Order: sequence, then C-alpha cells, then structure tokens
Amino acid sequence: MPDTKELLNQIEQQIAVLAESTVSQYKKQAIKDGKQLLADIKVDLVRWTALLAEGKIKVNEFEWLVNSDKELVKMKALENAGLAAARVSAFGMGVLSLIIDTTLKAVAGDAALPAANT
Amino acid sequence: MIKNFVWSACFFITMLFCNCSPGLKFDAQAFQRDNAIETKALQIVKNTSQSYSAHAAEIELLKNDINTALTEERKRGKGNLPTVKMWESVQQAKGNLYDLFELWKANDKVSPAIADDIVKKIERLLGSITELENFKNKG
Repeated sequence: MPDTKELLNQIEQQIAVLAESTVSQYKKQAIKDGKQLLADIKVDLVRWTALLAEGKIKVNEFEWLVNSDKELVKMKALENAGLAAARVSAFGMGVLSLIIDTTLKAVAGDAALPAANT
Repeated sequence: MIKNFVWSACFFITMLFCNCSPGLKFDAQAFQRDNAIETKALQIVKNTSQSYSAHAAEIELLKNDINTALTEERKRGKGNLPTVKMWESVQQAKGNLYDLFELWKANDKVSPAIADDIVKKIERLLGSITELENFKNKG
C-alpha cells in the first residue's frame, strides 16, 4: 500500500499542473475545484487503492470505479445544463484521469501487481 | 461524493440553461420506462460477483430496452439532447453501465469487495436520467 499522504500530495501537485496547462486564466478556481473533487472522493480512493494494492481488486475494476466518478460528474452536468456543461466538467474529468494514473503508478511502484491484475 | 464540485461547476450553467432552453416537456411514459430500466439494471448489477454467463441473456434484454429508450429520446427534438447524451454515455462511456458489462464479461466475476460500490454508482448514474425527466416541464 503506497503512502496515502504522499499519494494525495502527488495528486494535488498534478492538479496544479493540469490547471496551469488547461485553464491558466482560471487557475486559482480550477485548483480549488480540483482539490474539492479530490477531497470528495478521498475516502473511497484510499479504500480502493488499498484493495488494489492488496490484490483484492483488479486494475480494470479500479479504473472502472474512478471512471464512474468521472461519469457522475458528466451525467450531473448534463442533467443540470445540457451540452455546454461538457466544457465545465472537462477539467473535473481531467482531474479524475490523473488520479487514476498517479494512483496506479504509486501502487505499481510500491509492489509489482500480479500479472492477472494488469 | 463529488457533490460540492458538481454543484459549484453547474450553477452558472444551470442559470444559462434556464434562460436559453426552449423548455423540455415531461413525458410520463419516458419517466416510467426510465424507472423500469433502472430497476432492471440494479437487479442485474447486484450479481456482478457471479459468473457473467449466468446473466448474459438478461443483460442483452436490458440492452434492447436501452436501445429502444435512446431511439425514442432521439425523436423528442433538439431540446432533448441532454437526455440523449446521457443514454449515449450509458452505452459508450468508460465507467458507465455498458463498460461495467464489458469489465464483468472480461473478468467473468467482479471482485465482491466492490459489489456495493457498483450498485451505488449505477443507481446514481441511471438515477440522473430519471431525475432529469422528472425535472422537465409538466405544465
């Protein structure tokens, strides 16, 4: 199991990089929203990461779980607003993509995943 | 989960939508159909810890229902695009229902450790379509 605090710090740093490269004009707000999104899923993310590291769930199951959060952002945005929302939720989806990538790197770096899990 | 982010992100857009949309009409039949699909889907995804093959037939029937729903929603005009996009996401997007079926099929059984998470997520994903229908103009 990777160091949770270190993992969350890494993700926060990546959120700042993503905000700078995608919505630099609104960077401050984007970082705040990204950190809020991370805070909202933190409890589940830590639990799923532990399950993944322990080999109790597979990589594609972990990816589905985090991607489904991405879908919830998108579906809620569509529910509220229609097509224009796709732009609003794009940053949130980017944040969730980097959460998947950063967590998988951290778990794989901590201990090699069983072949069946990849 | 993720409510704060979604609410803050959508507030402005919701205001925009309310001002610009021609107004979507509520359809009681569509609402009942969406509820029925959600109920069927939840009955199925409660069993992801079992072998996919044992549920393949009912999954195909559910997919037929969803295809019909999408066809009907597409006939409701441009203003109904958000609902159409939601059904398309159910079918095509990673982390949504059909993607779960693909995952289930590939793994044969999904790890029981996340069985509850899956049911909650599908309930929220499909529930957002029903909620949107219910939110449409009943006048």
